[in-house]
Amino acid sequence: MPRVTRYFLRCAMVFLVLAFALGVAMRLDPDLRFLWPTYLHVLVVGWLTQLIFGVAFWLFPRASRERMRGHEGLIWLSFSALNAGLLLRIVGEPFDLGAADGPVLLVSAACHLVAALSFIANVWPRLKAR
Amino acid sequence: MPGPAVFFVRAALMHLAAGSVLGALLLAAKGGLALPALLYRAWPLHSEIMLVGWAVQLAVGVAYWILPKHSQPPVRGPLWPVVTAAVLINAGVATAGLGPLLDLPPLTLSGRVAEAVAVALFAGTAWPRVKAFGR
Repeated sequence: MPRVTRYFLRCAMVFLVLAFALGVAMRLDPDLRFLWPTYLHVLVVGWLTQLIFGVAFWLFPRASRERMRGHEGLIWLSFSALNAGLLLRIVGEPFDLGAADGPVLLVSAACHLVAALSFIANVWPRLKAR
Repeated sequence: MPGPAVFFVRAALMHLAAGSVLGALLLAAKGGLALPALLYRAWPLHSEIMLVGWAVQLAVGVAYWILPKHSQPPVRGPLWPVVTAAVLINAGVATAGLGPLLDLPPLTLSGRVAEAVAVALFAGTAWPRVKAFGR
């Protein structure tokens, strides 16, 4: 398993546990319902999408003999941007950070977008019909 | 990777791109970015694209590629249900996602029906391929 896949999968598992902990917390204390959008994105982006990115990079058809898994820099960019974006979202979306709120969410949005587009750029050329 | 699987996975990646752009805009709006009024109501479209267009469609494509093959051709089962499923799931995501945005409930319903037929067709084709080794 490539190193970046191990990183993706371990981070995915951390977010899986966090998501379910948030789910329990929201159930125990209804005042925490404001965490709902964060909970949803921790589960769907932090766990599901991150797991898919890691496994797809590992198992999708090879790009070429020389570069089996395509441009590795793109997938590292995707990994970094996904996790940075999600962490910024966890801090900035539910909590009032004052003047920092706007910039934190804007950077988080940009990171989410970069993560998706760099993953697509890595995987797209590896999809060939045989 | 067989042609239909390439189609499903590429379509899923296009949904990932579109859904991520929309999601980034919605998150940026929370950070103060001004959006056209229509886009503030785009959350159902974003979730439809990401859950069905991206995640479900990717799983369908990978399953079509990777499940055990039949010993006799067509080795991955008949093609028509898979092609029909590919058309219906993508049409379904568009209509089910745009229905709430345009305030047209019948459009949402027709999209959901198209998605349901698509996944039923896929499941019908994939069912016989779920089997033990050597069978």
